[in-house]
Amino acid sequence: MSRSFAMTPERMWLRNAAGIDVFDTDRKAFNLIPEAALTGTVSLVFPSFMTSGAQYFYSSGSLYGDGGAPFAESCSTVGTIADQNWGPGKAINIAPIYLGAVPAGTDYLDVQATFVRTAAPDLLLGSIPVLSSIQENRWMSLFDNAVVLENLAAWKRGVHFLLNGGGVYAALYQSAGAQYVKFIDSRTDLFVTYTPATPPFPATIHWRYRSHQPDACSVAYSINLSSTWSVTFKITPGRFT
Amino acid sequence: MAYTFMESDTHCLLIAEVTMIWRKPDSGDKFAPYKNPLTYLHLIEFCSHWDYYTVRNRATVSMTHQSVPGRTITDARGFGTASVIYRGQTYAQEQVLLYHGAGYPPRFVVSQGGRVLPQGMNVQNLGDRARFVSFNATATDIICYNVGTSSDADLPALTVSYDVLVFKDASEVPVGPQLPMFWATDTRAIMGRGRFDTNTTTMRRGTGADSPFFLALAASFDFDVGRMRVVLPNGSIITEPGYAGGFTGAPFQRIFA
Repeated sequence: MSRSFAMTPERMWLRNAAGIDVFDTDRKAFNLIPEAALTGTVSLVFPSFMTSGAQYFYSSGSLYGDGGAPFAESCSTVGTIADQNWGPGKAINIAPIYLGAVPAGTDYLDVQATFVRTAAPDLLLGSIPVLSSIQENRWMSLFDNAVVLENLAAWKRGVHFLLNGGGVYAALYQSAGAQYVKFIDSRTDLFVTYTPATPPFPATIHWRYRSHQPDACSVAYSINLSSTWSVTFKITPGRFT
Repeated sequence: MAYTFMESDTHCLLIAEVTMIWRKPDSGDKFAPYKNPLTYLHLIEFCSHWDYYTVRNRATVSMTHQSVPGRTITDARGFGTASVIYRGQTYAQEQVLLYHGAGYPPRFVVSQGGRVLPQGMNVQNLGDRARFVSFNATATDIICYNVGTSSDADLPALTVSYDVLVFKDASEVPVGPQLPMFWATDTRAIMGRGRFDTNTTTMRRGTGADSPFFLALAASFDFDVGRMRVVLPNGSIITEPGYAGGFTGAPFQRIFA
């Protein structure tokens, strides 16, 4: 027997010149089973975050200085989202996506994947994009079977690839914290000029706003905060114990 | 069919067109794992037709991620009271971590201080400013992609040292003649046409004596109210301000490669 390969009654190993065992039955390697690999493409659809009302900003003034006429008013609505957590085991459930079966006894997944965002959330506050936190359409090795896809200060989206009961699943997680997400500048809708009849007009206008008169500040807004990612995956099951 | 068979008290080695090392079953046909390896996954130590994390490149790379200037923009729409203040901006930067030249996008791991990093790891956390890194593979390079966000203050440049291991696909065409299925001399041994080769290493379970290197076996991060906590395998915890979840980390394994 050579010095580089050896066996004892209970062990076999390959040992390099530095004395390191590159193979050792006492310290099992990660066995990956290519014939059982799962490959495919699936869409990960992250639901829109729930919005939570709005804050309103009202202002008025004279276009031509104090006491002048006509007056102008403007009204803006800033939409918000609240604290929320989504995903398996979180306050709001998202059912995991089944990707396929692996051999019984699998205790390890090697995950390689590319991600492309096919639908992005609306711009926040009308101008801020939710950037991808990864480079799209590049092969990634997911060292811990997970990746963060969107990552802002109070906005996160990611996916975990899980082994559960002989099946492999994609588990989507998303979370957001209270923040402003929508700005409606209502000058276009509600900007009016008129000659006041009875001062003080700001107070009068403010009352009309609160009572939701036809020219009041808009309380309705819509924003789509969902995103969809297309993932092409190669998941190779294995065993290391 | 020519073959060589060896056995010890606990293991069998059969060298043939399909070469395998397996632990003997407690009872019954000792060749059962060779005949039906998928039924005896827990007993298979090596199969020449399976894949392994055979190291083809390794390096420790120090790189500097760019600074992101602070910025404040006030958007005063309407007449005075209706305004929005935008703080900060985001820069993304692509940097080559390692040239590997494999000709295909290989498997790889990137670690820092012996802990394999999750994809999207927070490497700079200054409260209202942060930087996240992810890694990907092209046919020629391992790429580090970092996304930094400032506030009204700058996000400073950051120099980080990464350890990267690139693994060889079993299907990679060898340079020169095909390696043998099983071959051993006093100085070099090869199994499975290079899946194991004493000229390199192949990732396996480690011990305290041979490795300070840890791999998480499930996701290393958790979200809560839009914030993230990262728990490195057997390592440090990075928590964004505002996170109130209870994540304590995933199971992990000490590994050697």
